[in-house]
Amino acid sequence: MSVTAIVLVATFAGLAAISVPFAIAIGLATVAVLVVADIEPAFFAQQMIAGSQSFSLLAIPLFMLAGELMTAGGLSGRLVHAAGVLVRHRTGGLAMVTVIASAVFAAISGSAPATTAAMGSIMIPAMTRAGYDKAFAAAVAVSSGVLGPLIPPSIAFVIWGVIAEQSIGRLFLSGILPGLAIAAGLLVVCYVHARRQKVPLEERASWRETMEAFRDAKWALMSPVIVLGGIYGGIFTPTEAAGVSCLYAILVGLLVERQLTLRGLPALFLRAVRTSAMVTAIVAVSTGFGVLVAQDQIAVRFAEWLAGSVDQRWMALAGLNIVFFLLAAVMDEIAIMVIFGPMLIAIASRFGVDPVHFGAIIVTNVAIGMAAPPIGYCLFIGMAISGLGLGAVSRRIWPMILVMLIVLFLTTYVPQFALLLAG
Amino acid sequence: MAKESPGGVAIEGIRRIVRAVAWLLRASLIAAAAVMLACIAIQVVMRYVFGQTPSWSEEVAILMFAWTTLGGLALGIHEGFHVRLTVALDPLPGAARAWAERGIDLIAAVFGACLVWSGLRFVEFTRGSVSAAIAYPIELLHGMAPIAGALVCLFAVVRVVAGAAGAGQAGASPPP
Repeated sequence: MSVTAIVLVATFAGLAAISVPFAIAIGLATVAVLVVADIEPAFFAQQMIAGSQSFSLLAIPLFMLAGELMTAGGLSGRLVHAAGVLVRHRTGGLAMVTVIASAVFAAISGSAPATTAAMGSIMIPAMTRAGYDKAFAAAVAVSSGVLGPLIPPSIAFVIWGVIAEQSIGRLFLSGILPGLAIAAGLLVVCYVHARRQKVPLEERASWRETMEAFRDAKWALMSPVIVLGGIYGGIFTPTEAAGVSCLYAILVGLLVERQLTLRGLPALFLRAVRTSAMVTAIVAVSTGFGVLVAQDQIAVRFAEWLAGSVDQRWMALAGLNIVFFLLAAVMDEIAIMVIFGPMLIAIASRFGVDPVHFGAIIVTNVAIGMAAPPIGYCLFIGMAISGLGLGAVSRRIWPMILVMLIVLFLTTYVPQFALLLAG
Repeated sequence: MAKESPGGVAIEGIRRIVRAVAWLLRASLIAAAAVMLACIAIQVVMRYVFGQTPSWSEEVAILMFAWTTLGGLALGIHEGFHVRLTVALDPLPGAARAWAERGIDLIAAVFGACLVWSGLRFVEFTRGSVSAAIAYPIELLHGMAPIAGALVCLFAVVRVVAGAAGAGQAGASPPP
């Protein structure tokens, strides 16, 4: 191991372990190498600026803003109501509503925490009132929220597309089947839970109520059509689609739903900037870190070492999944993608894994990491909304995590699962 | 009425200045996000309605994005919203945790100082250059690094002095 590698890893791990924010720990690890290796200090600022100069990354704050605007504009509630009239009368119906509404909201916001917060705040109290165990209600909202990174558009795929220099549009498509498979698995978990716990059935919606719910939700349902239709119709880039989604949400919220006000917009913009900065600050600071890793050929050397030790592709992929799962237990998923991205790409390339397929594997891992204990982001949102502790929600979420692991297995070992739609 | 000590008056004055700086930072971030969105909207409308894509829209949008990233980094220190593990902090009793938080803020201040130092050198090296499309002075972009560094340093030092470091949630800080 070179001096650069030792200083980078030791400084970052040491600072992160004592609760220094990841962005600061990554930055100081980079500075430590500059000092030790006597590299021009301007490199640090230069790389941070360079890390913020990607047009693709603009999609991150804009999709976050779209989610904020949709929620504040009342469109999230309309989505829940529309999903409710379809399945609420079935066994586990209200839990299924959470899954379906989250899948649709994921096609608007692209963010797992935003989806969990928007749907969980409505559905966790509603499910609890309807007789569901509160911890189960929180677990359903958390696990449904992680459909955000898989169902396009997806902020995680945007970041991976920039790191791996792959088509973001194709990466988006590679997440659809894994996302839908997780959603289907979650529906089964909801059914089994409600049947075992004998949760009372909800009243079936009348034809008239169904029509009214869909009429009310038409503006919300149009949003994913505009975003995805725009991207795959060749009309917008993903970044432009995010911008158009924001404008659409502003117009509908101001003029149709009338739940947004011009005076209220700055607060929503600031919320979006805050949540976006948590992600983009890590990406910008990690740029210099990544360049040092590349210059030292740490990724290539590790990939060659791994290739020499493991000759089977399936074993290498299993190892990568296990390492990602363990890292996600102690690290931010975005930081894992940015810091270890070049290394993971080098390994995948060494074993001949299609880069888009590999992107789907990585983002499925990201989704699982956001829901899995002990430090899943969405898990904390579910805990905050429900007022429950980590133990209570963690005990209920394991069936859902198992569903996700099965889908990860399929995504990893059946490339068509990811590549069928991505071509 | 109790008379305030000169030290207390000075601290209150510094707090007011920091509050004003934070207000300005938030306002600038809101403005940057709004301009970014407007640029994207204009780009799409110009392309489909007028059949030509403006040369400046993407560059201005990226410039604004850079500020939402670097300015947002500084705001995150002020408001304590950056992602971090708090497993090591959670078992600590109140007073020990407060001291540990001060130590972490001090480390953030060192990061800010490094960014100021590095950023000023970078600005110095690239002084006089202009951007590719609309030829704005490149100091506008590169100057964001030392400014963000100075804000990080200021906010972190104030948190150290005030001992106002916020406690994170169990396991990790609030999520994006």
